[in-house]
Amino acid sequence: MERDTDHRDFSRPKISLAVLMSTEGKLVSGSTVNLSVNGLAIDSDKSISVGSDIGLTIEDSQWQKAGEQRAEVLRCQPLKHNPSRYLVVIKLINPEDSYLMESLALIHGKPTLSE
Amino acid sequence: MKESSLFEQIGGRPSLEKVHKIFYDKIYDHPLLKAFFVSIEQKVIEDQQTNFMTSNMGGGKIYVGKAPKSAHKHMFITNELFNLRSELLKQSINECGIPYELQKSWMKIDSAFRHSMVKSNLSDCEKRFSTDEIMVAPEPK
Repeated sequence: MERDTDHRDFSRPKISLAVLMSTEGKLVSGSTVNLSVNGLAIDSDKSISVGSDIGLTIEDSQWQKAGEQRAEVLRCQPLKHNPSRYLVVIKLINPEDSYLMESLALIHGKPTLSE
Repeated sequence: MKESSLFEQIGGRPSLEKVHKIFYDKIYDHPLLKAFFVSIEQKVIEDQQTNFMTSNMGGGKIYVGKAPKSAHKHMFITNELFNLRSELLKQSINECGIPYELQKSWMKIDSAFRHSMVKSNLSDCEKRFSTDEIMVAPEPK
């Protein structure tokens, strides 16, 4: 597993988890590129407006308890290696405790093969 | 080099237990903060906090208690009280000789839950049970 060691509060483990984003009455699917306590980068086949508020659900049994999180879209740009897909960067708004605990355990735990 | 969990880097459960003993000694002796702990034995809360931080530090998901928001919803915890608590935690970690970089990681985890516990108004508090009292710290003298 690669870990970014930049100036952010927490590292961002690279991990692929299926997600659903609800935005403007639509559901958009994607998968995480990396994930942290305060934000995520998501690979999606749809573009989402920068600045929009979305709901985010991680579609993984381990994260089921975390439920839907509120988030703001910070960036959305075509992927360099596949311009038909988008990299959506979101910032979580006051994430729920269950999300925080799941993400902290992932960030601070030993790397696993799935990461 | 094999990458280890933060829990391991910090020294595992013995380190967490040591820090939390010192930390709650300070809390239970603090004129304002002790008001929130009148109905719970210190050792119980020390063990809960150790399990909670073990989970958050990647030492295994052993915490089975309530989430912070739910556990503190009847407590009127202001930003100032949370800051006081953070200062005591920082002192306790430091007194145990935890290296500076790891101290920072510990404090960041603790701060991540600030928004779950801090309330702007007394009316934001809710009883957990019908028999609960809303807990408020005394005014500073």
